[in-house]
Amino acid sequence: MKKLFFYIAFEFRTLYWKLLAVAVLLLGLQNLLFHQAIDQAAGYSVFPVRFEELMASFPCSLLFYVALVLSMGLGVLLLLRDSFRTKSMYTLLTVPVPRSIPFAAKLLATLLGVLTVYTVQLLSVCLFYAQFVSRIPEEARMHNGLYLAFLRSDFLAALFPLSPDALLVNLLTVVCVAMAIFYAVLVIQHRRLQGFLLMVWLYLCIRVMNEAYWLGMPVFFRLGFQRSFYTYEAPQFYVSLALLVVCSGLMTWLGYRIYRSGDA
Amino acid sequence: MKRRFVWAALAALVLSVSILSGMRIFAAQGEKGERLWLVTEQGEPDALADVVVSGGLFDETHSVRYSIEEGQISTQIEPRITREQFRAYQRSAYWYSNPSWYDAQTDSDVTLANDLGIYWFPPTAKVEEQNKLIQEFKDGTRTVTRVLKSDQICTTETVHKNGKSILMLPAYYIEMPGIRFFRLESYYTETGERFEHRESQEGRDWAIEHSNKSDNKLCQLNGDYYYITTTNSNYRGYGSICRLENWDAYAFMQWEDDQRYARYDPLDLERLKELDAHQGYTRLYNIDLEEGKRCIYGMSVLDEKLAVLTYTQEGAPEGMANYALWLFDVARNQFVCKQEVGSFPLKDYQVDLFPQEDAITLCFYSKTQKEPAQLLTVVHQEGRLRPLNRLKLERPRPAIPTEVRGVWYRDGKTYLYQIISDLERPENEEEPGGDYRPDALPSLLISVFEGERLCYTGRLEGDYQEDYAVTGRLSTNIQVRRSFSPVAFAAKEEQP
Repeated sequence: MKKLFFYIAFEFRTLYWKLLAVAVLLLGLQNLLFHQAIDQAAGYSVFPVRFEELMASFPCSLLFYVALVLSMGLGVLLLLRDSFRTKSMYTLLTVPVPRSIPFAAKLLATLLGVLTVYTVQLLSVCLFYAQFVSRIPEEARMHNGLYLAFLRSDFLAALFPLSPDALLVNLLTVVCVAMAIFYAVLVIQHRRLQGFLLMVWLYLCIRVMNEAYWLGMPVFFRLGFQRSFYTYEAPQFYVSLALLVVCSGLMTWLGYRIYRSGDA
Repeated sequence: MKRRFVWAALAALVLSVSILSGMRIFAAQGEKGERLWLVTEQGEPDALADVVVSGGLFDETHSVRYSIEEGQISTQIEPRITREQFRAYQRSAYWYSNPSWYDAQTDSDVTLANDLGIYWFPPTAKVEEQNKLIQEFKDGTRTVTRVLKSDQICTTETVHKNGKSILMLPAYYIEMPGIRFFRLESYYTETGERFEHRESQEGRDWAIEHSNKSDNKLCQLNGDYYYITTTNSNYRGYGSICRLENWDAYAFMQWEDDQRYARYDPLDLERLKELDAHQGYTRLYNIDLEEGKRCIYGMSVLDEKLAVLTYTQEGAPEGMANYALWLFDVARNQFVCKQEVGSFPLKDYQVDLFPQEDAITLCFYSKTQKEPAQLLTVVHQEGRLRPLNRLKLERPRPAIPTEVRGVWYRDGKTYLYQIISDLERPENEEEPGGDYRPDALPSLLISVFEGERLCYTGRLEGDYQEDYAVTGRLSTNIQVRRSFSPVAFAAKEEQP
C-alpha cells in the first residue's frame, strides 16, 4: 500500500503543474467569458436575468470538454513518458515491485486528474454565481436561482445531476472513457491488433445500442451525459451502472495484461 | 520533495469527493427554497381554516408541491420529473375540469404503445419530421401514419392512403335526413383549445351553436370510461351513452367504414347495433333527441352514477335554453331522476361540471365575461337530485375573467379557485382573458363562499411569477415556466 502511494506521488509529480495549468485555465477563461456575458446582460434594461441563460450564452461546455480531454491526455502522457522520453520504464522494470503497482498508480493518478477537472468545473460554476450575485441587483435575480439553474440548465443538469445515483453514472462514464483511452494507447503502443479490434467492436456495440434508443426501441441503459430529465427507472439505472463497471473493468484488466507483458 | 506531491494528490482527492458529495446538501436546501405566499384580497383568511388546499407547480424539469394548512404554506420541490410525468401535468393543467381526459389519454397511449409499437419520440430525435411516425400494419393491407407530437398535449391523426381523417375518440351521431351520416372528430391544438372537425359526404358545415370547450363528453366511473355524444339542435336521431372498452379500436379508422356508414340509414337502430360490433365500445343507452328539441350538453359523475346535462329551447325565452340534469344508473341501465337547473342564454355560454364524491357543481358562465358566473351545487339524496345553493361569482376586477378551474363544496361552504392573469386591460376589450399574453403574471385566486356570501378571496403569489416577468430576451418556450397543476381541496383531518 505504501508503495502504491509512493508510486502515485511519483506519477502525480509529472501531472502536477500541467493539471494545475489546465484547472487554472479552465477557471480563468470561463469566468472571464462569464464576466463578459454579465456585461452584455446588464445592457438590457428589463430584468430579471436567469442565471442559466447567461451560462448558455457562451461556450462554457466546450471549454469544459476541452479541459476534460486534456486531463485524459495527461494520463496518456504518463504511459508514453516511460517508454519514449526518459526510458524510465527500464528503471522501473528493475525495481522489485509487482508491475501491477506502477500500472495502478498511473491509472489512479489519471483518474484523480479527471476528477479534479470535473470538480473544478463545479467550482467554476460557484464562482459564476458569486459574480452573478455581486453584479446583478437583488431584485433582478431569481430567488433560489442557483438551484433552479441546476435543474434547468442543459449543461448543469447533464453534468451535475442533483441526485447521487445520476452523478455516480456520470462519474463512471468519465472513468470508463479514461480507461478506454488508456487501453487504446497501450494497444497501439504494443501493436496488439486483436485488442484494437476488440475496442472497435465494443465501440460499435455501444454505438448501435445508443442508436437503437433514437430509433424508438426501448432503451435499457444510459451512457454519457444527458439531462437527468430522462429519469432512470431502477432497471435502466442498474443496467447502465453494470455496463459501465464491466466496460471499465474489462479494459483495465486487458490493459494490465498488455502492460505486464510489456515489451516496449 | 516527494511529500509535497503526496499531499497534493491527497488534497485533490479529498476536495473533489467532499465538493461533489456536498452537492447533496445544496440540493436538500434548494428543495425547500420555493417561496409562496397568500395575499388576502377580501375577507379573513380564517375562512380557509377547516380545509387543506394542496396543489402544484411544474415546468419541464421539475415540479413543486405545496399545501396550505391553517395559513401556513409548505412547499417541496421534486427535482426530477420524467417525460411522462411532465405530459401528465400538462394534460391536467389543460383539461382541468375533467381529469378523465388525461387519464384516458394516458391509458390509450399505453395500450397503443404496447400493442402496436408506437413510441413517443424524444424531442432531440433525429428523424426527418419529428412528429411523424409511419406505421405498417401487420396484415400489410394498409399503411397508416400516426402523428404524435411529443411535446404537445395530444394530437392524434390518422392518415389513410385514400384520404385524411382526424380521430380523437369516436363520436357517432345521426344527422338531419338528407345529410345522412356525419362523423364528428375533435382534436386539440397546442394550447389546449379544441377544434371540431366535421366531414360529411356533401361537405356541409354550419356554425356551432355551443362549442363545448371543457370537454364534458368523457368521464370515468369505477375504472371504466363512459362517453356521451354531445349534440345541439341541428342533430337528429339518437345521442348515445357508451362505455369505451378497447382502445385499440380507436387507433385507426378503416377507410371502408366511411363508405359503409355513408350508405346507412340513420334511424335504423338494428343496423346501428351491427355497426357497433366493429367498434371498441358498448352502446348503453340511446337518448332520443326528439327532432333536435333535446340537446345533450355533457356528462359527469355523481354518486356512482352518470350525471347527464341536457338543454332544450322548448318553453324557454328567445335566445335562452332550459338546462336539466339527469342521473343515469349504469347498473340498472336507465335514468333514475331529473332536476331542472335553470335557464341560461344559449349563445356564448359555457357550462363546466365539477364532480366530487357526493356532489356536483355546475358552473355557468358567459364566454364574453359580461355577466357574473353562476354556480349551482347539486347532491343526490333519497333517490332524487337536490339543488343546494346557487351563487353568483362576480369578476374580482374587470381584468380578470370568471372562468373557474375547480370547485369543492362542503357543509354549506363553497371553495373555488381560478387562475388569473394580473394584467390591467382596457374595460371595453372584447374578450378579456381570451388570448395569450406573455407579459401577464399569472396567479392563483382562491375564493370561499359561505352560503351565497363571498367571505374570502386570496391570491397565491410566489417565486414562480419571476418566470413570467419579462426578461431581456423573452423566452417563448412555455415549458421553462412554472405553471399550475390542479388544486385539490380536502377536509382537514381531525386531531385526536
